[in-house]
Amino acid sequence: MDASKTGLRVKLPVFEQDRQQWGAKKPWYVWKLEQRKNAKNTPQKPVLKREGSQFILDALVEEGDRLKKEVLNDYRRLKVQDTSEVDQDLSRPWSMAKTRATQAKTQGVLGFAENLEDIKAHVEEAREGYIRAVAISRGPAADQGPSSKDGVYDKVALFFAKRPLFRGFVFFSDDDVQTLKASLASTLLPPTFGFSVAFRDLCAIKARAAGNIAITHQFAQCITVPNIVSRTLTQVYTGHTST
Amino acid sequence: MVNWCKPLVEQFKGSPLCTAPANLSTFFEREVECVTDFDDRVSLLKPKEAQQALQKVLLLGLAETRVGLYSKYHDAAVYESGYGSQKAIHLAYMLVGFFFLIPC
Repeated sequence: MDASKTGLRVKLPVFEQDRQQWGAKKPWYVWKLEQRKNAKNTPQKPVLKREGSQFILDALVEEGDRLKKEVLNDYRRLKVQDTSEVDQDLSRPWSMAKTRATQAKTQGVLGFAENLEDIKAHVEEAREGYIRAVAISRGPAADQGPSSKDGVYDKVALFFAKRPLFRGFVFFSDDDVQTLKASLASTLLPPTFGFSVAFRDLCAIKARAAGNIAITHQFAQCITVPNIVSRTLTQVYTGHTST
Repeated sequence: MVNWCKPLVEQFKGSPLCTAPANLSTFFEREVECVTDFDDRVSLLKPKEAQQALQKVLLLGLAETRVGLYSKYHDAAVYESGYGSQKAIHLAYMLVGFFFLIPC
């Protein structure tokens, strides 16, 4: 159809004949690739029948399909393994608190268990908000920019950070409540929920579990000494020793 | 590209040349206008019409919507009957045969 370059045009009856014979039919590999790209809208066009041996492109598409399924299955398997394993360090504060609460309950002290139930209700509510936020951020983005997408996550994080509504006396300190909320959040699905709302607390739990020493912000800043500070200190030191 | 792979090269056998169908030229119609003819024609037109005629020639390729159809037809014929079939050869020459028909 390079008529513009050559000045030659296929005669209309010839073109129509060729179009009628070949225009509606597709090789299987073409149909398969189109179906893969747009599974729902692929028209059910008649597929050509191949005479004799298998066509090389059919074989390549079949092999590609097989490899795709294999790799996706591997990926799913690994993903399920990954998410099904709850980090023991992160879940420990919550599970230990639950054990203690159960023990207290048997002794007639219900307060601990009630506190944990209230914390759980708060975290569950935050989790539902997070699932909604994920749905919003993945939805059509016609009238929302990246800032509004961040905004829905910020709202969830703000809610999570609030103190749960306790029905009675609170046996735990505010810090303990924060840790318990984070610990419980780390055990819930989706696995991204916990770190989205309680990143700092979960890192702190993990750091404590790993036996690391907590350091203050000021001290952390001193670990990397800027050159200018280093020079000044050296000058002070040499000046001090020389005098 | 040069292929030095011995197992491939040693087994390679060339295929016989597929000649163009004898009646290939009857499938086409010609509409060739030489530059001098175009110049003569356009020089008689009013400026606006001459401009449109020039644009039509220059932008013709953009308006062509049937580009690539014969390539698809050829793929289908090759799939159904093989490269050496008469159907595939016919469509191959419909696709590239223009160049054989253009007088040098």
